[in-house]
Amino acid sequence: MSEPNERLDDTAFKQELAGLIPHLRAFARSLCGDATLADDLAQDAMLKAWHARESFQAGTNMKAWAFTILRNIFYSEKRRSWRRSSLDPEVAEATLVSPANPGDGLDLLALRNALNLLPDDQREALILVGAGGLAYEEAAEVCGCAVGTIKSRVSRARKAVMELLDNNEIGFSGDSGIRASEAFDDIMGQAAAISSAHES
Amino acid sequence: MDDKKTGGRKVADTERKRRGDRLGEQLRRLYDDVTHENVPDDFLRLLEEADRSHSPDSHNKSS
Repeated sequence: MSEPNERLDDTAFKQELAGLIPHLRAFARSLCGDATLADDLAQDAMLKAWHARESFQAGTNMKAWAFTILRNIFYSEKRRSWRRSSLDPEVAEATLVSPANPGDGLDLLALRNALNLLPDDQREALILVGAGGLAYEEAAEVCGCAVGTIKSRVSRARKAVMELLDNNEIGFSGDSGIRASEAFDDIMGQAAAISSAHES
Repeated sequence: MDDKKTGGRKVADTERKRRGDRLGEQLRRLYDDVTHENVPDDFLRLLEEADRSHSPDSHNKSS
């Protein structure tokens, strides 16, 4: 009954792929940091996905499928080295601080910096699951590893990022105009950290 | 003493959850900052070109 490889027609495929472009760009940005290089990567992935459309099985998650292609290009073509250029803090700041809410920029910059300190495998797992909205199973497929591996990477990444943000005061709680409730939260956060340290 | 300890743990759990939620929210913000950008024209142009160069009704490659 079911075709072994049910295909979308080209028009439907193209439409769905075009809808995924923003996600390809976001995932690429998380891998290589620099926006221009990330767009090059996302374009390559989009075209490669288009040419590989016959291997896409209708009814499966095209986002996970396209992310797999993008990630393979990234790792196979040694574009990992691009990442180094992304660590320039001024560039990171310029791309992050949105004019609409400048205060949030600091929080996001701190988060971006913390993410940059994670091992590659943990960072991508956290992005795919925590931001990209992939299920653990889908993220495992993208990264070519077991579901349990993805789960443990995500959990280690979350823990590490939270610790980095705790220890690194660069703006996660905002420096100016700190509200009393926030100050209270910070104190409670420290208390929680101390008490959990005692527990273990 | 015991009361105090469980109370403290509850606060710690709530705090941990609050921070976890906040992290999730900020991760999505970081990602959505990009997904909400306008897609550069290049992308759709390249996709259209790829589609056209591979004309759907020509099964033979001698175009």
